[in-house]
This record gives sequence, structure tokens and C-alpha cells, in this order.
Amino acid sequence: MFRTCDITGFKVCLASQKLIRINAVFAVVSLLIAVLGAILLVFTRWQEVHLLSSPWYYRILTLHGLNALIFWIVFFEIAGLYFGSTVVLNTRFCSPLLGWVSFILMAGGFIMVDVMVLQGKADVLMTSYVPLKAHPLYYLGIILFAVGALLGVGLFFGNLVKAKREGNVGESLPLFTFGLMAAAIIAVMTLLSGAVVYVPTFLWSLGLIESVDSAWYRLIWWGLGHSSQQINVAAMIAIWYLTASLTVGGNSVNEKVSRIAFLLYVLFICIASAHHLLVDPAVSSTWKVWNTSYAMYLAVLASMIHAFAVPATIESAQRRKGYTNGLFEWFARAPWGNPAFSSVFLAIIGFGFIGGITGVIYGMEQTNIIVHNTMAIVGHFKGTVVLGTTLTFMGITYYIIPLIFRKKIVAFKLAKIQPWLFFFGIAILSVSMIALGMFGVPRRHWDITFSGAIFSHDFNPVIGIFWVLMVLGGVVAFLGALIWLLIVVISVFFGPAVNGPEDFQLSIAEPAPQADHGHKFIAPGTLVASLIFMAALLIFFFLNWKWLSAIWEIQ
Amino acid sequence: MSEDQNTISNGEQPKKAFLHGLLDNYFLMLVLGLVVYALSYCIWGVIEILGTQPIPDEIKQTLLNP
Repeated sequence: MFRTCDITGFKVCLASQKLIRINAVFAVVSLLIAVLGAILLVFTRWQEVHLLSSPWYYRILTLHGLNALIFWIVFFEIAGLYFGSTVVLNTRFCSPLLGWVSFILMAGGFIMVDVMVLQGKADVLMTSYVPLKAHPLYYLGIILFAVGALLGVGLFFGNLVKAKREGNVGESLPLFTFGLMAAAIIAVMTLLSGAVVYVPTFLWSLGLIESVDSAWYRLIWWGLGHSSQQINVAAMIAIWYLTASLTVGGNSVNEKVSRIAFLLYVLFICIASAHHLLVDPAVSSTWKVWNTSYAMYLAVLASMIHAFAVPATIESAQRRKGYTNGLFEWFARAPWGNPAFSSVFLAIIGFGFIGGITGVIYGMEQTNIIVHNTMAIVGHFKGTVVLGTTLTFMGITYYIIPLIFRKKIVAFKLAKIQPWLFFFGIAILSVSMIALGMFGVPRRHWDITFSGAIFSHDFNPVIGIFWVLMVLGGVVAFLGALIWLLIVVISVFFGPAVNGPEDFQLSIAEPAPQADHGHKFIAPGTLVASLIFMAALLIFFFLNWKWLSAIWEIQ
Repeated sequence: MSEDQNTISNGEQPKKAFLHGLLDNYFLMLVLGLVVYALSYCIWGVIEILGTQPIPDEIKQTLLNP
């Protein structure tokens, strides 16, 4: 059964629509839990308030990590995979029954894990490093969630096969679906790693096997923990291309190069999991250096290609519409009133300048040692997963509400402000955390005053200002997230229905006109912005090596 | 490679360049991705761990019974 969307013209499979909706709803519930946890953690890490007790700090930290980094994004990505493989390809869902089995497994696992954590039976943090042991139902919950997600990814591939067989797609997939396909392949590697590491750990928690080797656990676990964030990267960039098309009518300036960049992700991005083992004594420097630099830089190259290609796509489309004055008229006249556009553009800036630059530098064995296990690492992934992925997912939701849920966006004026609030909040939070980490403030630490300990440590007094900034950023970001959650929940459950194109508050841009650029470079503004980015990378690169030389003086 | 060289002998179906063929074959991409990840990260990593010398017994006892 299909309905034809009166706004996009897509044939929407109704079975698929239901599955997209339910997965999206659970994604939002997971984000709500993550956000509530986050604000408690901010006011606990700030020693002036020190809100939670020690056990509750680690409990909420576990809850926050799992909901923010696993449940929210994987539920959302499964919804995205179904959308990209059915609605975009005008194809029916290959097996709605299995789609529901996948969802029930994921939802059951999600509930099981969160209940175990809140009951205090899994105070093991997200990494659950052995020999820390949680209740068996915690591990079982994660296994169920991973199996359900893996089934969902399998259904995505099933939908692609069906679309090809039915002739709904030519030889090549649309770029958006191609990007999601890269995300799905990375998801297979990630979820298989999860199964490999969690099945024996579950048996160990039941007492059926004696022990799990801790070095092996760390190695394989990070194949899950880090690679799951690479699913995000591929899915997020696929959405960037989609948003460029929806909001300004742009198509990739060089689609083949964009596809090659996704291929580089598939081949090389998962080995970046080695970043987390840079101080691990069980693996050699050769292994670390190969997996975190030589080979992995091919994935960094892919990110650089996308970081150039997406803004260049937007600029090129804008210029073809006549915004050709100077270097940045296209930028000033972009559709900033569309919250999906502003979310995505701000996500590109945040992901590149904060998440990307710190990621490259902290991923090197030498400079990593300055910040390993400090707040700077948390600041880094706030730049990637929150400023990048979460803000992008928030942005595209503004299209999902009217197109999939068929509801109008309530408080639309507030929706226009929300991406800016969230962006600036997380940017301040992230940069403050990076600064705190540079001063040696550890992550995952309840009491950095070491009260009652047999030793003490005096931090540089300047960190006081960064704590205040971190709290300020955290509160602003919390408000930004809360506004988004309220808009989404009220729109979906209580909002007025969309009865036709006249109720659609956003726009779907016509493809930008073709233009003969002659010998002119099509995106000079993006080129200048890229040079600024490279200068920022070099400056931060230099500062970190200088910092390293100051810490470890060699005479 | 010129277009002529890309054409099979009967001259009807243009032959896909390897890269183009790879980008359109998601199952091949999946296999290649898994192979690179398994060899470079997992298997090599496990070999490294298996080659790690066990902690000497006297040090182990000192740590366990300080």
C-alpha cells in the first residue's frame, strides 16, 4: 500500500512509514533521557555544585553515554535507512514483519539496558570494561539491541535489492541513499564487533565461562564503540547532501568524487577505533601508528572531500540562482530561515572546526598523550557527535515531521532559533572541555579535588573560568535540546495535520539552473573558507606540538 | 582508458570501469570493508595481544597480595 506525497511526489510505502515513525519516536525518547542525564552530569562535574553522589554520577554517566551515543543515533539511523531505501526509491518495504521484529528487539534491548542501569545493576560506564561486571540482563539488552539493529540494516539491503529488481533505481543509487549504504556497511562491521564482544561477556556474567581477556575485550569493544560513531559520520554526511538538495536545489559538484569519499570511509574509517588504544600496553606502536595514521588518513581525506563538497554544492547552486556578488553573497542569501538548512550548515562548521581538527590531532600517538583520558576527548566528541551528528539529525527532523508524520511544526519561530541556541551552547561546552583537558582535568572523574585521598593535585587556577564556561554552554545547549524535544513531541502528538502543500512551512527547492561557468571556479567562497580551515588546523597542530614539548622536555 | 577500449567486442554494452563497478556493487564494498577492518584492526590486534608476555608470577603475587 502506497500513498503519494502531495508535497514531494514520492510514493510512500505505508508499512515503511509506520516503521520510520516508531523508530524515530524511540530515537527522540532516547535523546530525552540522554539530555536529562547530561545536565545532571554538567552540574556534578562542576565541583562548586557537585550535584550527584559518586554512585549516581557513574550511573547517570553510563545512562547518558548509552542513550546519547548508541540508542538515539541507532534508532534514528534505522529510521533514516528505511526512509532512504523505500521512500526515496519509490519502493515497498521488503518485509514489514521483520521490520517489526527488528524494532521489538531494539526497543526491548533499550528498555532492558536503561532499567538495569537505573536500578544500579550496571554501574560499568558505557565501555563496561571487564572485569567490571554488570547484571546479565544488561549485556543481554545490548545484544538484543545490536541484533535488532543488524536485522534493520539487513532489511535496508533487502529494500535496495527489491528497488533494483523492480526497476525503481538505475545502475547507481542516488547519492543520499549511497551515503546511507556506506553507513549501513559500517554498521555491519560495528554490530558484528558488538556481537563478538558481548556474547562471551554475557556468558561470563552468567558464570558460564570463567573470564574474558581484558585486552581482547578492549580491542573488540572499541570496534563497536568507535565504529558506531562512524556510522553517524556517513549518515550525517548523506543528510548534508540531501539537505543541500532540498533547501537550495544543489547536487554534488562532483558526484563521483563524493562517492569515492564514501568508499574510503567504508574501507578505512573503522580502523580508527585504534585511537582509543593509543596508551594500551597490549598492542605495539606499529599497530597503533598504522591504524591511526597511515591507513586512517585515507578516511580523513574522505572527510576533507565532503567538507569541501557540501558547502561547494550549496555555493554553486546559489551562484547559479544569481547570488554572485563577492565571495559570500551566496552565503548571506542562503535560506537561514529554514531550520533544517541552518542546522546542517552550523553542523558542518562545528564538525569541521571543532570535531575534525581536534580529531586529527588527538588521534596522533604523540599529541594524544597530552590529552588521553582527559576532558579534551569529551570536548572532541561533543564536536563530532553532538555538533555534527545530533544537530544534523535535529535539522532533518524538521522535514520528517511534515513529510512522514504529516504534522505541522508548532512554534515555528522558535524552531528557527533552536539550531543557533544548540550550536552555540555545545560549541562553548565543547571548547571549554577541550581547554580543561589541556590543563589535565581527567574525564569520568567524580571528584577532581581528591578530597580524602592520600595524595592531592593542584590544577592551574585558570581552569575555574573554563568550568563556568562549560556550565554556561551546557545550560544553553540543554535549553536548545529541550526546545527541539518539545517542538517535536508537541508537533507529532498534538500538532495540526498537514493537509496539503499549503500547510508545508518549509520548502523544497527546484534544482538550481544549469549555468556555463566558463573557466571560472565554481565555489571561490568555499575555497577561501577551506583555506581558513586549513590555517586553523595548522595553528592548532603547532600549538599541540609546542604544548607537548613543554610537558615532556627533552634535554 | 578510451571509450573504445571500454567496449566489449560486440560493441553493444560499454564495459564499466573497475571503480565505477565497485561503487555500484554494495556487496563487494561490504566484503572489502570487512576484509580491511578484520585484517588491519582485529586479526593483527589479536595477534599482538597473543604475543604479549604474561606478567611474571612474582610481580603478579606482589600486586595481588600487597
